[in-house]
Amino acid sequence: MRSNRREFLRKAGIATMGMGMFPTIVKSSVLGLNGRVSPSNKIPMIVIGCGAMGNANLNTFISFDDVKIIAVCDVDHTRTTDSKKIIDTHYGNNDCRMYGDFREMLEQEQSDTAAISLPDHWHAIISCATANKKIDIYGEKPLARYLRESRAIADTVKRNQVIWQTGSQQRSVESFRHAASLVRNGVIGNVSAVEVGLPDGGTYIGNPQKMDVPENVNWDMWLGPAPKVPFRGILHWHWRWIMEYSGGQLTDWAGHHIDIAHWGLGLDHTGPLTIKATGRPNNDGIYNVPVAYDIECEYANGLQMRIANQSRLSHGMGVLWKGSNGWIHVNRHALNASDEDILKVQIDESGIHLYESTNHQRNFIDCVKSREAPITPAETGHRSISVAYLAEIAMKTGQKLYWDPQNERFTDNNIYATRLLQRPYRSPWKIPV
Amino acid sequence: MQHAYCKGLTGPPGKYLYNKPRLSITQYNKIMKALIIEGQNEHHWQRSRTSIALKQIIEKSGIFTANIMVSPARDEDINDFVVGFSPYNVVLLDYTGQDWPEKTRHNFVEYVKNGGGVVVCNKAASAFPGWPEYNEIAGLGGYAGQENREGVSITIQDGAPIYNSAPGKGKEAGQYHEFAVQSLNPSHPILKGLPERWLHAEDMLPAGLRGPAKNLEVLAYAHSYKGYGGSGNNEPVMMTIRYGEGRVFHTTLGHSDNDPLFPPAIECAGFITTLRRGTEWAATGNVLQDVPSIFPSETSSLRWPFYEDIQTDIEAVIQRIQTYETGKSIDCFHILQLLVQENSGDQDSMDILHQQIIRLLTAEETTNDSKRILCRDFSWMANEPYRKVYKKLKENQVISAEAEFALNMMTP
Repeated sequence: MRSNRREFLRKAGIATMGMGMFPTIVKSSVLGLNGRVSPSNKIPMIVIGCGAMGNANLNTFISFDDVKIIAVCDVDHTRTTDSKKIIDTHYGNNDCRMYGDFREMLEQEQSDTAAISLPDHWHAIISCATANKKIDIYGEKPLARYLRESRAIADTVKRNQVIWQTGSQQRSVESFRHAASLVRNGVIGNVSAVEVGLPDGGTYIGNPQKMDVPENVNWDMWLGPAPKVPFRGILHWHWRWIMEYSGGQLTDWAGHHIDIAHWGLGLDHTGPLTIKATGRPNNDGIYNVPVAYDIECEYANGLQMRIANQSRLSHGMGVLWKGSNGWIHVNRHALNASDEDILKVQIDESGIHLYESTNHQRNFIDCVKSREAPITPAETGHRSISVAYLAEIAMKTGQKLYWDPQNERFTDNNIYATRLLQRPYRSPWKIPV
Repeated sequence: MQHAYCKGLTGPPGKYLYNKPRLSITQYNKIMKALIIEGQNEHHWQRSRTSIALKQIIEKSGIFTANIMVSPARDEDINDFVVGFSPYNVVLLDYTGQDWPEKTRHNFVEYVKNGGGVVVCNKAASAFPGWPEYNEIAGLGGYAGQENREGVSITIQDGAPIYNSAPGKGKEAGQYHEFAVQSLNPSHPILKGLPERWLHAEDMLPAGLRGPAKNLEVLAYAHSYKGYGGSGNNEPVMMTIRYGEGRVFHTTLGHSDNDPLFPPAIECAGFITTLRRGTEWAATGNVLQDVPSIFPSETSSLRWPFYEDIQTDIEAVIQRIQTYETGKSIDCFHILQLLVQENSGDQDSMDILHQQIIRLLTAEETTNDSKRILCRDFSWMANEPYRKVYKKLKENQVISAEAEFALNMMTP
């Protein structure tokens, strides 16, 4: 008897919830809210890319009471099915729609926000298409695969006046903010050098043979703008280690630790003036990203930034700012300084107070509502990853690069380096502008 | 990370790009089989994967194909790790950890007794302190932390090995530094034709190794400087051991902890050459490989990233590019990229590289898989002469997309 009653209540609950949610799956502009949600409504969200980061972001957003995930998209049908299951289970319905092509999704769905977590080579096309639909975006770092694409995202976001949060979530972690804040306020004096340690990247799988594409995957769509190549088992996760799709640990982590290094030095809207880099991939194997690298950049006022795989640096992973009055080192496990009193310094009222966020995804949603800039806007994300793009070019050419960060061009008109600011796309895809 | 290995590709192509014949497998009827055992070790084997380097080093001799066998991890059950050694001409040991199961130990001893070849690589020498037969096979071992280890230790004085049988401390590990390797028996097949003294790239020189040292011959030694935490003695670095009918080559060189990704000690031309020759000797009792045309000198070390002499033997790299097919080793393209990177400031060298790439793109013998990669990964550096080459390639339907990519790359 009791269980019947519980069953009845459960069913009734779902029905009520379903009705109550009706307005949230209608784009708010339809409701005459001037294109924006009313705070009392749930914010509709679409999820593009249902891999590890896609699901991590999905699981965070789904936990917010004011967000409603309405549809998912991936070129791997197994993955959309799995993500739909998470979403439908959470909402207790069967409403989440699935897509294999983002164009169809953007055409069909009326959403205010999108969470985009894709292999890097797909970032620019999909981010710009989404921003052009006036959809606010939580986009995974690195911003894109090449510098010109990354610039296109920042410009498209600005032009459409959409909110963009780059997934450089360390900015929303207190230890990083504390470190950056101390450096920014001159607690260690004048900073003339900074070292950024990123992971060693020694993954190796040899030279796999051609093989059949899994039935659940649209391989041509997975490749998108990248060259058409036979399937050799390179798919989810593996893309990180192949230059056509990503730049390995360097471009994965530049969006974290170079991002923090910039934050502490107020360099969010500029970049290096010169770049020199060496790097090597594994001696053999299909993976061709640099696994060991050492990069020297010079910024305005002679500031030197060295970026290297962690084995090369005395402090390993993280950011080490070296000032005239001491140093501060921060990574995900530790915050240290040359003198522990440095870490106890309180920034007074008149000091520089860095943007404060304690939850990166929450900060995005709050900004979607307030229309304020989030903690890591597109321009910031673009500047953080630009250093890695330029380093890749310096490695490939073996040349020292002379860069004008304001106009984003090489001051010596280096034509070979200029070519590498972007790679041509495979037809029919067009590089966004 | 600047290396001297591929600087100075200057002058006319004929000067440096000569076609150096590699050792042909026909000299051995068929390619020989090597087994590399790894899976547990004292240092960061998981990161450095020395076994992959060993495989690439010996396979690039042209006379071996190597299988890597990974044992269960240190905290896993090793009882099912049963290995048969008889299919192999030579076994390379890059293993220090749990004792192998009885069956594997038995197989190993029988294999060596009956004429099998073994290469003991640095820390593997002390893999099994409690296994007497193994210690005879390895000859000497390092047993760090054991104060009164029994066995003989060997130092070299006035060109002769001195055997010391008083029990003593196990191995002392010095700091990483470059040191000179001195031949003791320069006429041994492994060392014949090589300079008698050469500077080894940064490595850790083990000192005070102890063991049964039966039927052991020291081939080369190095001085262990006290200033680097060493013993102050001349210590053996390469030796051979005879066990039954078997031949063992034991090298104490090749530590990788100081740069796990690209260890200088393993990229050292001297280490690579002696490992190759030692492996061949262990497998056959003879060494037919040519001595390399360049080698570290007494005062300057020499590194070969990719484990080959890419400066003087670039033709071999070009040949591999020409015959590349999807699924084969891609290292030839990495080497080409490295040559471009290292020579970018030298117009003469770059001219030679451009000529080579254009030759590859135009040659009918070059595979389409190879042309694809050349179009995709090297078109950023194309100068005007490439344009008509790419246009011509565009007519080839199989690679027209890549040729178009290359043309687009030239005019962003």
